[in-house]
Amino acid sequence: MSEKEELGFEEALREVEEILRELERRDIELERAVELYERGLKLLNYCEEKLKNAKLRVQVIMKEGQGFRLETLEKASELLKNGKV
Amino acid sequence: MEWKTDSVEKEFVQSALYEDVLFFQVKDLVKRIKSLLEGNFPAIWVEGEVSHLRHSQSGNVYFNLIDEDAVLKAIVFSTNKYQVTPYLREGIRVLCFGRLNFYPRSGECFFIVRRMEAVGRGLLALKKEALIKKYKEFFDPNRKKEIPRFPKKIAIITSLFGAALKDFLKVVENRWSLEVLIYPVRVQGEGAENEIVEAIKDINTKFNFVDLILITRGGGSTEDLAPFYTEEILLGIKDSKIPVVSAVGHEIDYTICDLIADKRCPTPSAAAREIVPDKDEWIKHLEIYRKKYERQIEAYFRNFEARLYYLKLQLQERSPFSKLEKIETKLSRYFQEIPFRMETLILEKERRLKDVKERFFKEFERFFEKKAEILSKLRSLLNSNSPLRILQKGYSIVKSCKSGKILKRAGEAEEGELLEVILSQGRLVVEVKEIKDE
Repeated sequence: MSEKEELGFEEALREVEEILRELERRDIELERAVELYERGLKLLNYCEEKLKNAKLRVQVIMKEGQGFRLETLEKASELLKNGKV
Repeated sequence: MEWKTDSVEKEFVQSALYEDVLFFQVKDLVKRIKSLLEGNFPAIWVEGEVSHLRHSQSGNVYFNLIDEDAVLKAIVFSTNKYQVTPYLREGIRVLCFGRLNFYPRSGECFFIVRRMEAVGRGLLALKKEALIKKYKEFFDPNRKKEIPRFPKKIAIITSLFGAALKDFLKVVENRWSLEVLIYPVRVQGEGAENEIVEAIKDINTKFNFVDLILITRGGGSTEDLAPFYTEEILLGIKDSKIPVVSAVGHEIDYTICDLIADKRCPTPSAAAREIVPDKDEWIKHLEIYRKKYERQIEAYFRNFEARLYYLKLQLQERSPFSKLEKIETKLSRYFQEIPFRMETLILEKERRLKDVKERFFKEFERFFEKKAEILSKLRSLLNSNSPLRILQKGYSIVKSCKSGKILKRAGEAEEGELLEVILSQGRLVVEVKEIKDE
């Protein structure tokens, strides 16, 4: 789902909570309840998937003249080794 | 106490050799001590810790400068008080400038302090206090920015080679989907604070997409931590638009950096745990949410079922069929009741008719009885007035047989005509022989 691709964990979680609150109200239409339930479960699966694929990405900000560039930790360590920052 | 005579004697000999006199008068010795002390230490710097601080009524301040097992009594005269007392705190390490003074009357030696500087941790504590006082409003807890619950990108200002970064990354690895940008800086030594402040500025302008900034370093000596007690650090963090987390130095001692930051963590590892959520924990949370969903939808359906059942009952009650049924029941009851009711009605009418009939006949009878009575009265009246009664007196009535007319005059009869004579008893038919109409 392309719309979901955009959704961050926090937004998805917020929606999960909102849906839960709406489900707690007993006066919603049956179709709406089913729709909410399905949407909530999808979001939960989405969140879980997102967590399972969680990765750490580390980069180092290197000053370059007036600007900056990003380096990997290894490369930056190599470059700065002598300067010892 | 047993004296070691030998050594005492040796000392005596030494003193006799050393000095021209065999013994000193106290005042002479004290004078010597005084001139020796004051002559040799007219202007000195002494480092030590302030203890037994007391202010006298005269305005002078007395305290002890201590250092492990050594004590030096010190005085600040009221004339110098204002240059010195800002740094005078119990327990603080200070560097004092002054001279030694020996008081012959008490036999005590005092360090007369004219200038004083805080040093080491004491210095940092004082600087911290002064900065907090100066920028009081910036430490208001209400000013603190909220730390995002689920950061996606964070910037770390730290040394690339420090233990702090290693500790942080070790915890964060496999913990969350996270992009970490390291801004390498020196975290100790002269001018480190300027590098840190520049890093904060750069991140705020060029990398402002990060959710938070972490400034961290491991514990270190007082000198190592000095950059984190500076005014520059305070103002640099205060100006950051991005929330700043500080994990600098010791667990118990809060640096200015810790205090001005939006959040403080005791160590780099603690910072990692506190600002980066744990995916395993969140997977458990999601499971709880899933269970809540199940419960809610179940409850919803139960509730829905109950509502449906209620509606069904209502519908049944209001259904046209049930109305018809009711009418039918009513009708059938009428059908059962009508013959019975009719019978009762007829009987009733009959009874009433009978009554009326009876009354009618009775009335009728009475009417006739009344009439008969009147008639009988009339008859007797008639009888009393009847012409027949005149006949009984000998009168008679003559009628023409032909016309049946009663004759009142002889002239009305014709000769030879047959006449009927009615007597009180019986009748005579006679023939007219002669008419005498006079």
